[in-house]
Amino acid sequence: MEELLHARLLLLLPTHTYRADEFVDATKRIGVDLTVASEVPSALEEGHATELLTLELDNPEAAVAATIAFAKRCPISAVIGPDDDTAVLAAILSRDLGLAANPVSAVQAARSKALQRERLRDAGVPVPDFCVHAVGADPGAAASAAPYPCVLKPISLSASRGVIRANDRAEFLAAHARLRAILESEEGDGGGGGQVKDQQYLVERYVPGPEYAVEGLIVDGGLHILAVFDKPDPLEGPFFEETIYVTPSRADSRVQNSLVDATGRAAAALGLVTGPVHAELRYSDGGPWLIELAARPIGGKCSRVLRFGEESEYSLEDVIVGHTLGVMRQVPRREERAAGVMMIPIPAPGTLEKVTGVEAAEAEPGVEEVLITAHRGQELVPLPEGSRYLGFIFARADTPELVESSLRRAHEKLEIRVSGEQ
Amino acid sequence: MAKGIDVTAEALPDGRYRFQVNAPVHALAPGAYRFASPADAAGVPVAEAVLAVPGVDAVVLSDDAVTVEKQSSHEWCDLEEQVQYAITTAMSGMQATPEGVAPAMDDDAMFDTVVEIFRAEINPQIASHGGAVELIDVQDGTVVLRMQGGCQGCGMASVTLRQGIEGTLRRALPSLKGIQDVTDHAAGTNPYFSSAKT
Repeated sequence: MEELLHARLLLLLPTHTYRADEFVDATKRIGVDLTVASEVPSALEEGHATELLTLELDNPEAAVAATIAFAKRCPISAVIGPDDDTAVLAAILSRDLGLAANPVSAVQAARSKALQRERLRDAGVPVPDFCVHAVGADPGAAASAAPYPCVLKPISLSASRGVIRANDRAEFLAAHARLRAILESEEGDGGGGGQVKDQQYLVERYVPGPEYAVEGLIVDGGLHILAVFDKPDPLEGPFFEETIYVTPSRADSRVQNSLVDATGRAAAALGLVTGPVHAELRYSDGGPWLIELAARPIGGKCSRVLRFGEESEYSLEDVIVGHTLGVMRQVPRREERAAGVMMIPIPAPGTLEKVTGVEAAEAEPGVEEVLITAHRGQELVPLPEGSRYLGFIFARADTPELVESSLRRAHEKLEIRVSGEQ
Repeated sequence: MAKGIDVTAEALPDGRYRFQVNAPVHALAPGAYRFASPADAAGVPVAEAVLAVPGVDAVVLSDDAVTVEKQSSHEWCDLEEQVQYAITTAMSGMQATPEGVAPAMDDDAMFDTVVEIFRAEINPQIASHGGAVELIDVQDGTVVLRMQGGCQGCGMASVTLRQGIEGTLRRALPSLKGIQDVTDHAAGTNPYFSSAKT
C-alpha cells in the first residue's frame, strides 16, 4: 500500500446495507478521509457535515447536484457504491465529477437482468435462453412459450428474491402470481421502481449442474481473479436460497479456467473497465453458463471470508478501496488457506425468538465466527419473498473439505427458535 | 462546545475563511493583527489555538472575526470544524486542543470529558433514532463504549460511531488513542436500520 497524501472517498451506503462496517473500517485503515452518503440523514449529521451526507440515492439528478455542491467545498477523489442499488449512482457521480470509473452504461447493463443477458448473448457469452415479459401481460401466453424447466426472475430485485423455478405450465402460473405479489409488496414499501404491471420479469431456461461464484477485481480493463467459490449445496429450486460458499474451488482446473474465462468475457461485454465484479455461473453440458454478473463485491457479510496478502493483512474492502484510490497498485493474492461461509438458512417463517448454541458452534474446529445479523423479534421471511439474512458462519482450514464440514457441524449446533410459524 | 460562544464560518473570494464570532477575539489594542507563526501568536490564545491546527498557515484577528489562511495541501472541509473548535475552546478559557500538540489527558480526566460530551452532545442527537451511547471506561487513552437502543444492532452503527462519535471525541480529545465498541449488536432488539439484500 502506498502512502496517500490527501484523498476523500465518497462512500454510498444505503441504510439497509450489510457492508457499512467493512468499508468504513477499510477507509480508516488506509487513512483516507471518508464521507458516507445515505438516503436518510444520520442522527449526527449536524456538526459532521464533511463526514456524513444525505443524498437521494434513488434520484440521480438530485444526488448529482448535491454531490457537486459538496465537492466544491470538499473535493472528492473517488466514489464507491458497493451495493447493487448504489453501483449505478457511483458511476454517474464519478462521471459528473470527472473521476475515473466504469462507464455508466456498463454498470446499468450489469444491474439489469434483461439488459445484461442481451449484451452477453450478443457477445457470445453463454447465457441461458431467455425472454422478457411485462408483469401485467397475460402470464398464460408467457407460460405457453416458456422452455421447461424454466426460472422466473423479476428484473428489479436483487439476489435470489422472487426467483422461482417452474417445471410446467401450472407451476409457471403459480410462480408468476407469487412474483407479482412480491413486487406489489415492494411497491407498497415504496420500492420496486414503478407500477408493478409495467415492471418486467425474465423467463430463462433452467440450467442444471453445479453452481460457482467468481470474485474479481478489474484493473485497467484486466480482470484479476480474487477467488473462485464452490457452492456445494445443490441449487435446484423451486427457490434458490444460497448457503455455503467455499474457496478455493475443488473443480478441476479446466472447469475453473472456463469459469474465469467466461467471467472475463462477460465483464468485457458489458463494458466494465474497473472495480469489483461478482459472477454466478453454472457448469453444464461441458461448459460454463453465466447466470449473473454484478459490478459490486460479494453480498451480505460474505466478504469476511476473503483475506489477502502474505500475512492475510488485507480485507476485500481494503483491496477495493485501495485500488479505487490508486494506492494499491498490485492486486494481492488471496491467502493460501481454504475458507468458507454459510449463509444460515431461515428454517421457517415467523418471528425470531432466540438463537442458541452460538458458543458451541464457534468452538467447532475451523470455525472463526458465527454472526447472527437478524435480531430478536425480527420477522424471518424465507425466499423467494425474504430479503434479509439470518446470519453467517465463517470457517478457515487447510482444505475446502475441512471448511465445508466445519460449517455444517457449526450449523448443526445452532438452535433457531422461531415463533408464530406459518 | 463551550456555551455562549457562537462561531460562523464563511468562505472569502480570495480562498481564505472568515470565522465570525459573537465576542471580541483578542484583548490587544483595537485593530487587526496577523500571526504566521507560533512565536508571533504567543500570549494570544485564539491565535495560538488556530495556528496549532495542522494545515493553518496564518491567522488574522480583528475585533470579532478570525480570518484564516490555509496551506494548499489541506482542504477547508477538513479544517473548518477544527478551527471552529479551536476558537471556541480558546475563547471559553479552556486550552485549545488541536490534534497532536495538546498535552495528554489522563484517563480519569478523559472519562469526565467523554461523559459530558455524551450527555450534552451525542446522546441528545442519537436519541432521535432511539439510540444512546454509554461510556464504559477509558483505558490507556482508549474510550470503551456501548451502544444501546436503536444503535444496538443497527446496520449503520459503525457509520455513527466512526463518522460521528469518533470525530466529536477526537476534536475534543487530541490524545484519544482509539475507540472500542463492546456492544453486543447481535442482542439488539430494535435497531433503527435493519440490513437487507440489495
